[in-house]
Amino acid sequence: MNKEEIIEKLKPIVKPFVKEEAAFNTINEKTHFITDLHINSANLVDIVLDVEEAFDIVIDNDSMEKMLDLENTIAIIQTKLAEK
Amino acid sequence: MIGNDVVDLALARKESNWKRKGFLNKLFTTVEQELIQKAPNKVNMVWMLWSIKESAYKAYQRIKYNEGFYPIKIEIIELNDQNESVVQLFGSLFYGKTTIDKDFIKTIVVANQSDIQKIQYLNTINYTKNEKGLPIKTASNEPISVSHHGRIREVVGLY
Repeated sequence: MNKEEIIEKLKPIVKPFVKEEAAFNTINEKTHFITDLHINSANLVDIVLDVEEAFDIVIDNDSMEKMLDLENTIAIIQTKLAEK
Repeated sequence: MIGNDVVDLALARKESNWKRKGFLNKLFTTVEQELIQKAPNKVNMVWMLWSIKESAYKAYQRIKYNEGFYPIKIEIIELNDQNESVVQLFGSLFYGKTTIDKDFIKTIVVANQSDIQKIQYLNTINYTKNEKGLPIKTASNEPISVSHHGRIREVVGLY
């Protein structure tokens, strides 16, 4: 799966937790979940769990640590998919 | 160093389902999960432990900036029946106090136990952010901590 395909699949996962619609409308690789989208940190775990489900992967704690922006999230998803 | 976190319980109920599969496992250590299971009010325990972790995370950023989502590494190693806690993160200890009422859960942690006496509640308009996006007092650049959730916003610092 390439970056663009992953971003498309991530959009509906992230959307329910977004508090800053303008930043969501211009979502890209550099978008940060907290500083740009103003997502509540308690909801990061929901994004991690939803990503696990949607991509059928397991995200270990070390990977989860970096899941604060799109760029890292995409890289983690690609790595986990390649390991399958 | 100081860190705080507030939880609006009505909003938490709406935004989070702590009973979903995997939720507790990703956020809490085995010991913390046992505290939740044994608690008479599990919901309050979930959000109290979460707010302690968030507060400790914020306080730690002022010691050594380390942005990340690592809730399991923020370990609550003591919690008494006055909701006073001791938290450990990357070898640093923090001392917390949580207050719970029917609407809100609020925690403040400090790095030096004696600083609990020096907590100052500040006006929400008199702060700005440093180059890392962390809140500071406008006049003096002293580190402070800000938390906003639903109906509440709290800004705290040390005298």
